[in-house]
Amino acid sequence: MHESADEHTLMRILGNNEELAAHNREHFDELGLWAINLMSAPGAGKTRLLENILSSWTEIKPYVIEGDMVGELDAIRLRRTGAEVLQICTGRSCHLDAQMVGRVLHGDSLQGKDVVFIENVGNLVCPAEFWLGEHMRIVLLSVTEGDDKPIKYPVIFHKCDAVIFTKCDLLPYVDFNVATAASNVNALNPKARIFEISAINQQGIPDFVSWLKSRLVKYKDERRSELCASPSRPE
Amino acid sequence: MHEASIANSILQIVTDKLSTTPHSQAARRVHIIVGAFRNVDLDSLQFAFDNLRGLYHGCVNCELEADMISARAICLEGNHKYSPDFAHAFRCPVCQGPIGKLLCGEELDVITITLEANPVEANSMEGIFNA
Ligand SMILES: Nc1nc2c(ncn2[C@@H]2O[C@H](COP(=O)(O)OP(=O)(O)O)[C@@H](O)[C@H]2O)c(=O)[nH]1
Ligand SMILES: [Mg+2]
Ligand SMILES: [Zn+2]
Ligand SMILES: [Zn+2]
Ligand SMILES: [Zn+2]
Repeated sequence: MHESADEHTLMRILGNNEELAAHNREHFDELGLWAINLMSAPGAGKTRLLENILSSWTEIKPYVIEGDMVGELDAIRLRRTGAEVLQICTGRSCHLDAQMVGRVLHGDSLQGKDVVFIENVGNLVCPAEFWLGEHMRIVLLSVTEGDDKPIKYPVIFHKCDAVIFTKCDLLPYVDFNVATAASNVNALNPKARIFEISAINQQGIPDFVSWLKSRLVKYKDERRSELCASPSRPE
Repeated sequence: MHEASIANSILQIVTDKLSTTPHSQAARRVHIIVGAFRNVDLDSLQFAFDNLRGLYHGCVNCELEADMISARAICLEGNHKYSPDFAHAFRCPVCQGPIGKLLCGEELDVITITLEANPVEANSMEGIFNA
């Protein structure tokens, strides 16, 4: 038997991802890029919502990072709006991580853009664990998934800034109680803003986009005052 | 299966420790804590860890010991401390209020790594060394 000894350390297991995410954040801020991480189960309507945002919010210079396990289908759809879209194929990984997003930031010129939308891989579990350096996290829940999903996937709903109930045009056909769903979100995350939208009849989309606009203005104001305080550049 | 990413991160932390510890070349055990409010399935993590450890120098016999930390919260308005759970839809059982703040349950940390002393040095070291 060999001798052994305990080495007490307190190491955050995902500390490496957190450091890379913080580095990404420095790049976003240096570029003046407001970064939004969109997360949901597969098919909740992330790409469809992005198509709507990109074609109706014409004042911004957007950049889209598309995370998908395989293929470029979503990127092709979004390029039709005129936006610059970069596809990350995550392969076997079921979430984007900070390193994947960092590669884009170090490889592509994002100069002159002001909003970056990151469409995460469709999944309500893993993406919640991997910070990307984003300023805002938005979770989409389609009404076909059920009003109980926030309490079944509490982590992602606890750690986000806004929740969008999508496909509200289908409410007459499904057993989804908006008040119950909102109460379930509220229990986990009383600060989260809740929106109800439909990409088919445009319900709620103007409200959501004007909220995004106001948050972007807030971000730009904060950046301006921070820049005056301490100008610094990441590697 | 992000448990594989998490297992890789744990093994990386163990090999980093080994590489800065000249009196040891192998890890015997790594003890981690996992909050209930993290998306980590302990069985999947164990499975991933056992299958990946052979790929990391000095980790082939390393055991993973994982402790789950249950969640505690303070409710938003009543300031009651409680254990948020699915059965109560994560609300405070006293006032039905939402989570104001999680006090614990979001841990995902390595807390102890047990290293084996090199056989030649074992006698003189007497197994005592500090981090
Ligand atoms: N009825 C209805 N269908 C929608 C809505 N939004 C998206 N969809 C459909 O849902 C499917 C998945 O949408 P998509 O945007 O690809 O979801 P993603 O996987 O989250 O990016 C597509 O067939 C969309 O046309 C909506 O508001 N109402
Ligand atoms: Mg999509
Ligand atoms: Zn950099
Ligand atoms: Zn996963
Ligand atoms: Zn209470």
